[in-house]
Amino acid sequence: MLALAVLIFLLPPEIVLPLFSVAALAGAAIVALAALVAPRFAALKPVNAWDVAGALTLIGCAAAILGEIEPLLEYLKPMPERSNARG
Amino acid sequence: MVDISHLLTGEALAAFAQVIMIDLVLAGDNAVVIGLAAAGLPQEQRRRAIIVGIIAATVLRIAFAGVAIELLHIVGLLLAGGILLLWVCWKMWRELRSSGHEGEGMFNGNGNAAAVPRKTFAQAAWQIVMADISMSLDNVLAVAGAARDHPAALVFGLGLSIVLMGLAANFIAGLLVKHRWIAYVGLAIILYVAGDMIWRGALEVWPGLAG
Repeated sequence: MLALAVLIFLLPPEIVLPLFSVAALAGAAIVALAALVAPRFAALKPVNAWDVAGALTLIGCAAAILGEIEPLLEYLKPMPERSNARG
Repeated sequence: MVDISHLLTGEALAAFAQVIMIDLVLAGDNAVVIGLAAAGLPQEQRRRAIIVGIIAATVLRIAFAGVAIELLHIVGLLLAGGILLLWVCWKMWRELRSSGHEGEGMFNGNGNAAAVPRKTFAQAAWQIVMADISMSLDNVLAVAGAARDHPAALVFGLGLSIVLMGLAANFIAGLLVKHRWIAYVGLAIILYVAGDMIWRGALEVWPGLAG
């Protein structure tokens, strides 16, 4: 948790939510794979692996939607193309 | 041998990274809407609704990308898209409310609450297509802009978004069937998207009205 908080402070603000989104979706994919490979994870009660995969997917989608896309696109451009306004 | 060296240049990789991030956003809001609409359906219809949603979103995205420049000149399109999405949110809110009331006091033999799917496949498909139209309008210009010189990135992004939408909508629908209250969270996310579109659309229209 502390490492995550430090990472959030160290990263440029415009890429925090997109990266969080990618991490959540990757987590969902890993949990879904685990549920496929080991069916006991899919049969857990009251919350099973598919529920966790669904929740992580929803969180990932929400983070992607809430993140501003334009500053991120600017950040991903090759250096010479970036606008001077961004600094 | 196929020469892929042109795909490994800094510019091409940047275009790929941009397209991946844009498609993540595109697939994200589509997946939440498709998951929300499909969650009210019985198991066998749910998969069909998700497929309809993905096909509609893909076709619309290709169609809108083809006329992206023309769409740029239409003032008020974003505002109209936002209002359309707001209407879809209202329909979903009413369904969530009514399904909640219908579920009250209904129990199966094991003492568990029995969820009774009341939505029809046609209703869910209509909601998904309406939401797809408004959301595809919102974001297709960004993809066209980022990948203008890299058709490979555009095709890759489209394929990626189809896979993402399918898997994400399936996971979300599965979650909402079991934990219906989470649908309100999904609805709040779509409401935010609609509000954002209306706000930006209103800012775009305002100078024309004021002047």
